[in-house]
Amino acid sequence: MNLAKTTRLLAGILGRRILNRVFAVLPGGRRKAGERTGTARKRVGGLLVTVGVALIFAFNSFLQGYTLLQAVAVAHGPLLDGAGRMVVSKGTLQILASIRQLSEGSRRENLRNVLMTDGLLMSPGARDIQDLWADKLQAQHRAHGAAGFQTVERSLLRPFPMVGAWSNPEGRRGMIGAGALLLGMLAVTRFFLALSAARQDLGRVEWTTEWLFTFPVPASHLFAAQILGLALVDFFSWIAVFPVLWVYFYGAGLGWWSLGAALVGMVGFGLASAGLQVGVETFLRKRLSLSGLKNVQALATLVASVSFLGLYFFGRSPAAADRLLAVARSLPPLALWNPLSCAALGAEGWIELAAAVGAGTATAWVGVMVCTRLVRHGLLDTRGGAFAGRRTPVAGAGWGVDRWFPVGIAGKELRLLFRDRSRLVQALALPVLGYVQLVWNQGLMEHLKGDFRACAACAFGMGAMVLVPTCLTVLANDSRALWFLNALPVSIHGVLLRKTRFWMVPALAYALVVLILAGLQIRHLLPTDFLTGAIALVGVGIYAYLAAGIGILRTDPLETEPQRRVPPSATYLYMLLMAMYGYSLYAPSLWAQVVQLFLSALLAGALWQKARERIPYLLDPVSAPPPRVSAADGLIAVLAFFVLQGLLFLAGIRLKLPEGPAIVGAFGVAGILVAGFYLWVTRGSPGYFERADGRPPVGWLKALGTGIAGGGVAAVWAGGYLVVAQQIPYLKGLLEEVHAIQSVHGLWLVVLAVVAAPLAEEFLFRGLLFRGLRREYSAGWAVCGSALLFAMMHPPGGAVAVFGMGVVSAVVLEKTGRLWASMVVHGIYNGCAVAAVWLAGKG
Amino acid sequence: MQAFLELQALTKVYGDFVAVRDLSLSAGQGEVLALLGPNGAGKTTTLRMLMGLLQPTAGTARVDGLDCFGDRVAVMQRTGYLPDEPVFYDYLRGSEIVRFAGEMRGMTRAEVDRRAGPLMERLELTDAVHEFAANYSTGMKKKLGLVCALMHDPRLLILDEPTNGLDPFATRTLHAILRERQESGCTVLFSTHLLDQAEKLCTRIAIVHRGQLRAHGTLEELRTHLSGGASLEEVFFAIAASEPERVTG
Repeated sequence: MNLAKTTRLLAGILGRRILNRVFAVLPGGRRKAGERTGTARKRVGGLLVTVGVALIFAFNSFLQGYTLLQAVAVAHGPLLDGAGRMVVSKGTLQILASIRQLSEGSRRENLRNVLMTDGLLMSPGARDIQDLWADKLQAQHRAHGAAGFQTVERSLLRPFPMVGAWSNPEGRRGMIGAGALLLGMLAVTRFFLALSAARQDLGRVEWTTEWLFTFPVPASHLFAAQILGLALVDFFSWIAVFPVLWVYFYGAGLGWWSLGAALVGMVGFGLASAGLQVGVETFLRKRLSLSGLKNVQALATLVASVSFLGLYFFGRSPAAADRLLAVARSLPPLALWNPLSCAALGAEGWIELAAAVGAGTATAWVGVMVCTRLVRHGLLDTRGGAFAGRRTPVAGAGWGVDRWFPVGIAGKELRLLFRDRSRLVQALALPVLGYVQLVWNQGLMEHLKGDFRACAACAFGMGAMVLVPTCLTVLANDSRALWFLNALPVSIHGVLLRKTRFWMVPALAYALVVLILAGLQIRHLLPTDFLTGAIALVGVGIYAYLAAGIGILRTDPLETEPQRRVPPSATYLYMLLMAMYGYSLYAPSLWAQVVQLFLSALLAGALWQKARERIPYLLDPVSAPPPRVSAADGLIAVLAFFVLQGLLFLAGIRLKLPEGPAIVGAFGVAGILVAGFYLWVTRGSPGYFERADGRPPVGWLKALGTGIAGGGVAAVWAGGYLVVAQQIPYLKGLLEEVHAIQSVHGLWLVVLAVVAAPLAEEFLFRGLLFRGLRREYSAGWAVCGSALLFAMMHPPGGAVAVFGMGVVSAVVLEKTGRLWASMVVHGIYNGCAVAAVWLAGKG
Repeated sequence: MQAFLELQALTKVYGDFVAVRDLSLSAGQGEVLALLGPNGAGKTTTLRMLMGLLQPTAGTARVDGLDCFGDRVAVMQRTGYLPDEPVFYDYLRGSEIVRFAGEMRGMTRAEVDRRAGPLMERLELTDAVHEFAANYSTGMKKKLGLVCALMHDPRLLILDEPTNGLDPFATRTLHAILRERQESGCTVLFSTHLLDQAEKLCTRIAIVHRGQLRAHGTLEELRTHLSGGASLEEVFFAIAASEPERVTG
């Protein structure tokens, strides 16, 4: 078989894999009726998320490339024409002339604004760059006045100001050198990423190349086809190299031709990188045992992470751009012709671009030759046995070795951790980079010294990041051996809980170290700082459960490729929640921090409830747990209700409705929409709202009596609280705040308090949240949990009274099994409150 | 004989495809029941439902009166299981996997050593206990899975194609072990497509084809009813070629 056919077949397989993956999640990808399916699968979405994430990454690369190249252009100084005049917009020159009398800060601010209008400021990260520009522009204006400038239309400056840097030979040389260095850095990152743990094939017993070698195709053709395939479909090339090359060529003044140039440049870069990758991979596979390969992969993961982060921070530092330009200027011209970075020379012309592809092809050819030579005595080497380095029996211990090791899950996890270097690096070594940041990044350290809340947020972030490769993958790491755990008389739920607790320990340790390190730098710690620190640590504990909960719910244990078991959307969701918690640690009020803590704990509990239900069905490709109300439903509904209510209220105000009807209308419509949605979703599931213990509801009369009595109890509790609160200045102040913000009066208040609120809030907090919690926890916990959240959704002044009402209402639902009885409690309670307000007004 | 293992109208549907349809079977204590059928007959799906790995679409699977899906943990206390292709943790050695399985069953280390050691020796796995599971051949993984399935003296053994990948020595040893277990009252249910194995070991045979039970009884009963005293091979081919019609001995 010739090379073209082999390449076509291999590329066809790659393309088919991608298409199959796409069609697997589209409705058209369903099986025909009666078709045999040995690999039935629950339908897993996520295609849109994957594409979205790829686009975000590509856009980010574009921005990074733009920022760095712009910074390099700025490092040349503002754009100069042939006569040494600075090229600016008319607006900039006018501003320069008008701001001379202002303070330095105001001058910079004005210039920054006009430069932004000129299209120079695309992101906050470019702020330092703008200041540099501002200083240089002012210096030029002071020295030469208007004569030192050439004014052009803004459209010529936007959106690629670095175009000007290409206008003179020296600038051109610097930009090409910088582009080549940038490509070189991308090549290093790509190289180590390709060797890292993300490259499954390298460290696997079943090497794909082994299978390919069973076909009647010459080895050289196979390697060449592999390299060509990798050069064309490499993910990193498309999301990182292509956007950077595009912005680079556009900046060089190629206009829309830059797209084509970037594509051609990417192929040249891809050929060179793939040639290097396949060559090194084959060499490693021949020379190392699998355990050795895993070690190399672990090291490569670490280097790739450092390189990736370095690239990221490099792109945001104007000082780095200065250094990059200095190095670029000092590069000998021949150094630019190395195959990994010579695509940058394509900016000189199409011949240079074609030559860059030629250099890439030559590297790929060398890769093919090296690989072919390496396998001339066979693909496999006697040294290459799986884990060959560990085959020697441990002497003198029979087969009962390691007697000192922990038993059960902890022992298993520890052994796997210390033997799987990739996992060790991801779980424990990568977070150390965070400490390195603390030590090296003085700016960050200064920020932490100034505010303990920042330390707490940093500590939480560090701990929570450790949970990503550990707790978020708590199920994914056991997926292949799940049958084995399932065959043991233990609850899988319990096993996963134990694993979660096990991984919580290192996460807490990392967070604690940050707190101690940063805390030691702060001289005067306040008592509230200790509380914030404690909330950060408790947050790490809660987020261990939260990460594991998300992981269990989103992992596909039937997925054969480990990297795909946990979809990226799960990681992003976790990181979003993590960011919210971290942000809440900055909140000035301790109350807000505690509310966030409680909400996170409730969410973790709700996720575990869902996870517990899913666990028995993990290995079943088609079955799922029967739909039942859950705490997660309650939380989602409460959130949806408040968001909808706010939006509807704003819409009402825009429609010129008075505040009273707007609030009542928004409350009612939001309640109807949320309740209607849940009733519609659950219409085919009669057992959805069934009581946890299966008891039937009590009779109507008894329920009504209990509801009225409950309403009375709640009203008396609230009355008692009001009397006590009047005696305590702090509570009295809070109560007055509640009165001050009350904006609904008269009949609308009665409708809101006695009808709308009981209907909507009881459905949400008791109908969904309490019932959901009750299925998982004892009545006491469920009553307190639902009442606490209910109280937290009200102003602090009324929280105690509302908590009491929430408790009574939940108890009434627990006793009667009828939600309307809780609504009666709520209506009576609110009615009494309205009456009290009315009487107080009359008095 | 009172049924220790009981399947009633067991059905599993994957989308539009019925993998197991209306399967009813039972086995008493000390019985060895073979689930015989060609590839794709629904044998593995049936065993997975018994292990609580799959939820039946309809019908029930019970062990000692316990529901296999709802009371999985209690069922697993009585059961030992060997899948067709056992996969273990790559970075654990054979000895560590066996010990882990024992610990998860509440056994002490000494107890694990005492019970699993002789099994390892019989299955000639002792020399490989220090190797990582990833190094094991298919046969070695199967032996390791057998040790894990047997070491706690289960009352029910569920084995999916147990001799696949085993060499003739290990196959003979396994047959001997199964006979010993049967004599001590253990119920054995295994799936196979090897007719001679079913002939050698079983007290009863259930032939499944395209998800349905096509014949069920002792070897003699099947021979008499179906082919007038022919071999099991002829019985099997006759059933596989025939229209769905249940034959019960």
